[in-house]
Amino acid sequence: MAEYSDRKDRTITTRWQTTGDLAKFILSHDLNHLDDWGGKEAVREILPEHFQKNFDMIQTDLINCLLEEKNKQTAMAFADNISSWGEWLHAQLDEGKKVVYHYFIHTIEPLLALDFAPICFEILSGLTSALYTDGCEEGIDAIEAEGYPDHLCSSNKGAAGYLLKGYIPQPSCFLKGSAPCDTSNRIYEWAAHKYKVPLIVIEAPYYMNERAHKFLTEEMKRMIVKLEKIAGKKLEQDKLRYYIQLSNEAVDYVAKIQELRKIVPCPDTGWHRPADTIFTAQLGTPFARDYFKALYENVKERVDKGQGVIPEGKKEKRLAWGYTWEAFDLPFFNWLENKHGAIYTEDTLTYFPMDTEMIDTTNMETMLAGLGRRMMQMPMARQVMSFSDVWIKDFVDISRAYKVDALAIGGHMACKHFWALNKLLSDKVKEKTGVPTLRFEMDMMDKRFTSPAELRRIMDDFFATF
Amino acid sequence: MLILGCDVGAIATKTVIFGDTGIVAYDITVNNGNLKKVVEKSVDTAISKAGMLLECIEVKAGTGMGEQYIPFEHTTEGIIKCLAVAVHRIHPHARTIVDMGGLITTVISISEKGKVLEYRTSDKCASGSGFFLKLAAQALELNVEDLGDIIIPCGERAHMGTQCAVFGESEIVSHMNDGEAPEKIVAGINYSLGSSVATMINRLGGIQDIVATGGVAKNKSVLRAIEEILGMEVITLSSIDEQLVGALGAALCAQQRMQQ
Repeated sequence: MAEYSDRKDRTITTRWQTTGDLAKFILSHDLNHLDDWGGKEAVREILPEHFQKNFDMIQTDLINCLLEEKNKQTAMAFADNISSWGEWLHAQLDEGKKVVYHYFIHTIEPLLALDFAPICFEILSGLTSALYTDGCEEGIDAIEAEGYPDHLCSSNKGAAGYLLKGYIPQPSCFLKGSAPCDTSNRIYEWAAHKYKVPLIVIEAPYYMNERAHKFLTEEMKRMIVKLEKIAGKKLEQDKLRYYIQLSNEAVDYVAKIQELRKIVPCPDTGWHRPADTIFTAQLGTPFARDYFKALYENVKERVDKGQGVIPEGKKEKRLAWGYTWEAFDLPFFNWLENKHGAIYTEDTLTYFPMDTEMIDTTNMETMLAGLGRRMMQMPMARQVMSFSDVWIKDFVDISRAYKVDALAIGGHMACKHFWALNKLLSDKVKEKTGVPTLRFEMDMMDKRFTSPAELRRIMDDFFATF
Repeated sequence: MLILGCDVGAIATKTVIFGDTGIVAYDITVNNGNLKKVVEKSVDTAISKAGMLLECIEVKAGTGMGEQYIPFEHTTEGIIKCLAVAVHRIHPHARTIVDMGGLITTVISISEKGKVLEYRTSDKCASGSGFFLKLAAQALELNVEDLGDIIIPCGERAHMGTQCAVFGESEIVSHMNDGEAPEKIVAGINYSLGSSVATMINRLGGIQDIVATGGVAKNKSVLRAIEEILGMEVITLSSIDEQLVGALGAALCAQQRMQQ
């Protein structure tokens, strides 16, 4: 049995680790639905005691979604990832490694090479929201009680609340790219001030071009000098190369999966796609590489067999998510497949551009230049380190390449930059490709804003017009 | 063949019994705390007006926000499509539908064949909805049904600086405290509501004929405001109560489904 920490400051990460192990335990049994074993209560009774409390917290619909035959393989990869990552993180903390909370548009190879314990701040909210019945609402409520405005981003609020409550480890540093939004910039400033630790900011360039790339590469160098000072050691070329190679392998799998998703019928399931954002924030670790490798093998197997993921007899409708979706309801995407035959092609938060390059690991200079370019291409950073043209072009290209039938956009209520762009995006995609857009209001990680039932109603209405 | 269509909306539940000659019977019941009972009552009333039993109705269809409260087996129809199908059947020249319901206002652009081209809903905002009018009527101690009868020249209506239902209520109280005549406040409210709906219509191109449905479409003052702002006529359907269009659409969608 794995060791689970009972330290308060590991509440959230231990919860994930336990959920990963619990999911692996359940998935290893011949079960396609909790009802096969007499329902959730009956299953609880036969679980080892150390899983029972965690089991009570997990969304029932999510468990049933993961148990569906088509989702089992990716569910196992997901469970493996959060279990191994949790175990690894706790080992790093036990060794006394310093915690750096970073924004999700960063790749973390330099942090790993400098022996930090990196934790993506937004993923703390996102994954907790995705897995548990109570989501990350305790964190959101805690930070709002502190005075943080309720209309700002829940992805920052959940994690900041956990920090306040002492549920996650104390930071040594915060690392923040200044794009895309003021909301996130402010909360990182607040947290650094509150916990009296440095905040390293990577300034965002104004556009996606060579000048911007050079600027970001210089920002990378500046960041490394600051990180070296906190780490008390110099960045070693070979160590950085090792983590970048892992990162390259993961990105290569992502690119291959993206290519396969263009096939009709779509060979990839939708439930894990919001979760893929989590693993993008792990680029540079073996966990991300292993996760995307498992996804690729799952998708490739379906392609080889000529299989899709929607029920037989349904006509496939190909959706692209022009911006966000709700992280709190992963089974929603499985429901879309099963009820409406709607598959998930691409989205803004996991999409790597079709011309994504591998990082050249020849020497320190090429690696830093590559990291600068990758940061420029990271999901969401790419779209907002520019005027609206990059975002629009991406979705015109996606609509064509993936033979998209409709664009769906969950408008995250805190995202001012998106609300400034949303009509331009949908109008241009319609004009260039004829693809219609569904736009609706929601909060990515707080289901109290737009509930799962409401989301399903919105979708039912939309698909009825097809 | 008889078809039952039931639209469980935010403020009222509407049921129609549709037969070969058109609507045979209908009911509109205002929702209260127990939606399941309201739905049962509305259905019971409609079928008893039609003089038959539920078992005699071959096809049953439901739509609206509370459709899951319909207690018998039925097909589920999307409200947008229901509105498009029903309006197209009654008024084939319609190209824009403005459904002003209890909680949500929806503007739908449809093709010559009645297919939905584009639609827009007010979503989280209650401005432009019956709920906004209900709040306003409560603040003014008037009946919501009476608000539409007040039509006064534009220069005389009270200015409403907000389209938000919540802030609107406090603005009404401020006008009352300033001694503004209730009819001028009502005229201001209706204009404000019409203005937010007109903006939605404009965003979808405002193509004529524009047909208004939903409970708020019974408010002539709001319709007049929309027409004034758009410079276009807004039509209501004389052959059917404005609130019943969604329920009729559910019945027609179910009929289409059977014919396919």
